[in-house]
Amino acid sequence: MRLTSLNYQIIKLVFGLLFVTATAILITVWTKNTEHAQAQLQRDLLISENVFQQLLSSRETQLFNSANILVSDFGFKQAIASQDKGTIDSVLVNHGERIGANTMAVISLNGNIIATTNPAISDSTFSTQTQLLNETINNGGMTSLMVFDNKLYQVIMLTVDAPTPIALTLLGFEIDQALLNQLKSITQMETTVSVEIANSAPLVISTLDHARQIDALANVNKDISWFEMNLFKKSTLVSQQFILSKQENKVIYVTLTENMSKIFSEFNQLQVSITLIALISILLALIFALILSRQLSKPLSLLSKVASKISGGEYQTVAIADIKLTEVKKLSDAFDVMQTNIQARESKIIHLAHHDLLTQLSNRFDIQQRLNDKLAQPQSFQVVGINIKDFRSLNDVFGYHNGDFCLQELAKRIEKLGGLAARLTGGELLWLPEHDQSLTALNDIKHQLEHPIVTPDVTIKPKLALGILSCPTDASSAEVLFKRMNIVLDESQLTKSMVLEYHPLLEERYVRKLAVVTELKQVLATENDELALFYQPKLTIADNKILNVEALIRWQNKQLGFVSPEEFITLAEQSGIIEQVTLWVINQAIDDAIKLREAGITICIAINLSAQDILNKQLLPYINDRLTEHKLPVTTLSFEITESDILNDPLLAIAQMSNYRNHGFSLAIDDFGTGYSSLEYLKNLPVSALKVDKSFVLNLAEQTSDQSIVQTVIKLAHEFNLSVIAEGVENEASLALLKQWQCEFAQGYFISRPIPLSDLLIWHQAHTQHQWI
Amino acid sequence: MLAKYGLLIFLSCLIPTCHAENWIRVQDQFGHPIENAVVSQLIPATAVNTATTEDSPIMDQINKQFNPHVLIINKGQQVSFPNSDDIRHHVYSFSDTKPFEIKLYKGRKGQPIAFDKSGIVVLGCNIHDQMIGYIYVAENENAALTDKNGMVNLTHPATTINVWHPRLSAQSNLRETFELEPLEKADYSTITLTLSTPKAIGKKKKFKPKKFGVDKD
Repeated sequence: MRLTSLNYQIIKLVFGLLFVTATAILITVWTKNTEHAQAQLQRDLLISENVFQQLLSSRETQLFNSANILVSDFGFKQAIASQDKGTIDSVLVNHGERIGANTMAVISLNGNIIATTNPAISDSTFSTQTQLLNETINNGGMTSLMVFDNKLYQVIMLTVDAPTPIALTLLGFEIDQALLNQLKSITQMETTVSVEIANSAPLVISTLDHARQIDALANVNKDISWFEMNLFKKSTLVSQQFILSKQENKVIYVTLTENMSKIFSEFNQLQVSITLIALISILLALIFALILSRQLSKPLSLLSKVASKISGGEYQTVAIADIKLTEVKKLSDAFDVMQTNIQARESKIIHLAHHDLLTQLSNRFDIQQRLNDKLAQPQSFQVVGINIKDFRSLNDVFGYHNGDFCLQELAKRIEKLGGLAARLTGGELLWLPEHDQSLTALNDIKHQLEHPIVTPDVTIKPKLALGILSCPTDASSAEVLFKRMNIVLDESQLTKSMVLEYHPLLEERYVRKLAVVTELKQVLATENDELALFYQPKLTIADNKILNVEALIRWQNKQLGFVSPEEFITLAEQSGIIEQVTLWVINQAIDDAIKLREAGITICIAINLSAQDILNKQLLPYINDRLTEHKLPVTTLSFEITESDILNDPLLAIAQMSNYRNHGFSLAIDDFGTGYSSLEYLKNLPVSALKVDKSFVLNLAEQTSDQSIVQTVIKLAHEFNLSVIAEGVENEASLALLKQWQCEFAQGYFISRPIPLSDLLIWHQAHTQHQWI
Repeated sequence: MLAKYGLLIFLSCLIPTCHAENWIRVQDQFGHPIENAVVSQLIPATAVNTATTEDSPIMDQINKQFNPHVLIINKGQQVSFPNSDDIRHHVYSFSDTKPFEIKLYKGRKGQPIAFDKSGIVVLGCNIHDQMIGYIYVAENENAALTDKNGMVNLTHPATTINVWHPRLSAQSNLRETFELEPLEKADYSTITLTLSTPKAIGKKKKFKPKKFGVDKD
């Protein structure tokens, strides 16, 4: 839709309304006036016609009375009876003058003229009109309109009775213009009498001049039209005609004519007045519309400017002077309120955008900017990362509301320290002290912060880990800072140092871990031959036989080179891919066991299981399936479990281990002596052997303390009906001691290094008969 | 008055040659009996009862009317015009038979007027237009007036008769002649006259403007 301005719309509306109204009034007035004029004219004409008739009739009566006096005169009768022509003539003249008759005549009963004052009347005038004469004699008289000598007469004919009719007297009164003028003065109508005589030119008597007579006769009985009269300047005469008399040879018409300009002149004045009023109204309305639209549009356009400023974030007082309209004032006030509200809401949004909803500290986005700003400055500064240890378990145990409370309380405590504080995510906070703090001071602060937090429900003792970065030395951007802070905090928790300063090595280690995990995933997925199983034989000391080997994983990566199992197994456990590694080991071990059996070697392969492996309930059925598939007995495999792994969740671990033993697998505790060995657990563990950690065995021959430990462990194991595997046997002396102490198995470089399967096949062949001691 | 008519008829019947009855009924075109019509037959001059001619008939004026309305006299008789009203009358006649005028008079007997010519004399009064009377001057005629039943007895057999009545013509001077059929069944002969409508003589003339204005019906 096309847009138009308010001014234009208002003016258009006002002008249109007034124009339509004025036009409607004009048309109505036109129509009504024309109708009225028509009706009035009809009425006037009808009245005039009646008046005209009445006038002629009363004139007739008057004429009759005058004539009657004449014919009643005895002398007149006598003169006629005595045929005294001289007397008759003189009486006619005398009486004619007395009563104002223009024409007089005495006619015998058979139509002959006895005497006349009008030479146009002769014997031939009435001689043929026998019937007219007889009727006149019978009726005593008659009136008629007659034409003598091209003049119209109102004629009275009366009998002269003596006492029976002896003659007829004719009295004629001319209908001339003077009479019509007299009639006009009464009827107020132009009057035209026209006589149409057969075979003769019509006779016209009129109050109008010749030209207007023709006009009047041409406009007989036509409709009046204001438009035609005023716009086309047509004749303003309107006529009504009626027949006054119709005789054998002539018709007499009376035409009454009204000049419409008289009727319309007032009407025209009215039209002019209405048009003038309409024009003035339109002019006034336009002026008022202009004023109104100015009062409306000026503040509106100002307000629209203000609105666009507000949309640009430029807030100012809406100050429009000269507001005269309440609505505009309200709008302006509403703008003010709206602006204030928008401003308030905007600052709230900005606050929310920069602050953490829970702690009201700066959020990560905000602190990132601030850090970048600070990093742009030449001054160095210290950043302390504070991590609530196991924040997730805290939430799990005490509920989120307590976790939140804890966070809020911590935030308050940190804020009190001054400087700048922010919450990065979860239980991770960042603190920028005003001044660099020493490690000692930070330890104190840590203790301060770790004060028990009393929530309405519970008292929580938060455990915190602190990581310290010195900027810009340790980080040149916020992004790097966050990354390194994560590393140092992780490290702080992993190493349990709890307050740790960043060192580039930390990141290197982190990068290495990342690379190892990535590569390991790759290797497991692609099944290339980077991974390999090496086997270290276990000597059964009493029999001098090799019946067991321990499977040890080896990984030679093309990028990382040799990666120690300690490193990548730990990382696999941390990154949750240990299960895949274990499955690979089991499958590989089964494949190798098949090859060994094919080579005629029956040997039990011991596989190391992590705590996660033990707790994985799908693993045991899988192993069973694999063995069944290859028709291998359960003695093909045995498992070694690190003592510390069991201690994480002893009950479940023991239950799972019992499942393995119930299926016929033998289990050994690996690295025995390094953990917090509990005799209580040892009593209940479903294992058949203990594996003494190699740290006790490596220098067994030289270290008497080790000898005491190992001897005690062996004795203890035997007390529990467990056999003992000594790991790290590197010389014959150690082996001799072990044999002396009745240790069941020995494993170490003295017997063999871990070797690949192919070497094992050869080695086994070579050492079948070997006398180890 | 009737006694005098009766006397006249009676006297007529005294004529030796005449003892027969000849009844005639005169009616108008609508069958209504016509009174005061004069029915006459020509008779030889010798048969005229000259005795009666010697009398002086009277045309009295009573209540502004001529009395009798129609008077039959024989040519040469003199008629007296006494005035029985206590107002004056001005009796005149413009008839060719006997124009005369008796100027304003009251009560006097006056000089009788002789009617030397036969015919109809129409009498008027110049003061009272409604007064109109007729004198029928007969010559060698046996004339009689019809009664209110239109009946008249001519006493003599007749085949040709004349009948006069004022309304036979506008000027009241017209007589009509009728041939009588012999009577077979009826007791009288019937004569039908065509009369004009009675004119209100002396009253204001009534006419409608026949040729004036348009007939609205």
